[in-house]
Amino acid sequence: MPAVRPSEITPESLWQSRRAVLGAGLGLIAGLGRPVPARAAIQESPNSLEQIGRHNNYYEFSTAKDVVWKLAEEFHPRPWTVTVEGAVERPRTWDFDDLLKAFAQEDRLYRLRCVEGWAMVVPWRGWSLGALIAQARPTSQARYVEFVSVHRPSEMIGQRQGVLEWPYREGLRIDEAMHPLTMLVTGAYGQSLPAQNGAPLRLAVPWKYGFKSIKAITRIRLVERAPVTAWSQAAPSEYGFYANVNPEVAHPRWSQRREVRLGETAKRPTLPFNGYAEEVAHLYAGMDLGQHF
Amino acid sequence: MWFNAFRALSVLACMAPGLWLGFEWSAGELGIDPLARLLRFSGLSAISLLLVTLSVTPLRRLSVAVARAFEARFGRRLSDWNKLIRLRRQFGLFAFFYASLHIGLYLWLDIGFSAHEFAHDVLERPFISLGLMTYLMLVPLAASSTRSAMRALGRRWQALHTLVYPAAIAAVLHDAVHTKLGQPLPLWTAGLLALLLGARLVSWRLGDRTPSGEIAPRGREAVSPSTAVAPPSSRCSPPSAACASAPRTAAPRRSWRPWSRPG
Repeated sequence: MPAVRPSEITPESLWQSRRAVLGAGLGLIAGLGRPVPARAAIQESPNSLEQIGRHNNYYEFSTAKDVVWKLAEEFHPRPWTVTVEGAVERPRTWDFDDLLKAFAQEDRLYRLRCVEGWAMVVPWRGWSLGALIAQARPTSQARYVEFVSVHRPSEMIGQRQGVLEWPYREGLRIDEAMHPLTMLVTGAYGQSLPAQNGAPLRLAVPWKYGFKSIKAITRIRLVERAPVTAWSQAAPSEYGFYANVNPEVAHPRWSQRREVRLGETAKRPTLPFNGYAEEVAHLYAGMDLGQHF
Repeated sequence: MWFNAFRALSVLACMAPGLWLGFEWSAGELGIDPLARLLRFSGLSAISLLLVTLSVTPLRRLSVAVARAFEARFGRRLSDWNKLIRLRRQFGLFAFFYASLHIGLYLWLDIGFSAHEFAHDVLERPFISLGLMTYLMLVPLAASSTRSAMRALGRRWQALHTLVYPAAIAAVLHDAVHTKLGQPLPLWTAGLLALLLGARLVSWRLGDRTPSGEIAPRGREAVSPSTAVAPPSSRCSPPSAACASAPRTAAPRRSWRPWSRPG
């Protein structure tokens, strides 16, 4: 399969026809040493760029999903640096454009399931987070990864209110972070990432609720203890550290048993681990997922 | 004449949200999350009409107060707002219609008529049980809105219809509990509801237990001032005051009959 470079812009319509040709193999084979099992390729049609770009949970701009795209026009994703630090042998502050050159970009079709009960299918562009972490050579103390988002109230109007503690923080266990499905995202639909979707760099962890997939990342820190995350800090009874998609763990407001795919009118059942159980369930063997939700 | 035109307009206004939603649906214009749009729009229509229903009595009281303040021909005119009472049942029934649409869409599109999913929702999500409670309170109100039901229930009709207050509070809570922080709409509905319930509390504290006072007819030998200020209070009970008639003269009234609708 030909490698797809980020400079190649694919219009949405072209994308649709190309998908039909490529079929199941769509962009999931990575030249990164740890190939993703082929079944991770999902056979579903992606949501449109309009649906992906006009329905955004991005509290840095607004708690209203339909206005984020407009407010995000004020945001400047360049110049941008990302610092990899903490329990690593080779800490480094990357210029964003150097990241694009250093790591081959690929397209992957992922489901995204928001904790609010809506879902979509997105053709992300990016690469496996594990490759970046491996490059920094984590030490034996690196048991968790902490992600810190940007804090820029001058451009992100939602950050002027304390809905959450800014900057937004997220975290993964090191084995979750190194899992080949865990992806650093720089684009969607073959184009660079829209500001409202977390430009220039966001995470995509498809088996976890969407809030784990932190946007506008500036700092990746390897740490020994589980980091405090924005949502588990704001409402610990509702949002845990793991936040794996799990229809058996109820939320007081949103249904976790069902979800609505954007554009559809009727709901469909939510799958354990958002349908990625075969790839990731072994990470949690022996854990009580009702306790560690 | 004017009133009939106003009534026709109000029917159109009550139907407008439903027609609009039907148009959006058939045109595929429900937006990126169509189910959320359907549920929110129908729910908000129900709450809005519930608030309109609850504003009828305070508006009537207001009209009387204004009419008393300007004891002029002009004041008499204003007291014609009393006719508003004749629209209240229509508003209430439309509120019930939108609440039924809301819960029907939920049962059909959200849970696919699954009793299992319904049980999970009611037990696990408090705002759903609140919504269900609201609807269960509205059902007897709608069912007892016919003249024959009013006649059969007599004075108990009044007591039954005080259910509209807990129903309205539960409806607003149902919306507020699952709305995100920073979204202003529940603040508006809760504020309006507080205003409407507060107005009732005030008039109740002031001893004005009837929805309408009486205006002395000008140019005629009228009632004594004491009767004008203290209208026959036996006819309506507080605080819902579902008094169907709107007396403007001091003519002695017959027994209490909520279904009687003098012109």
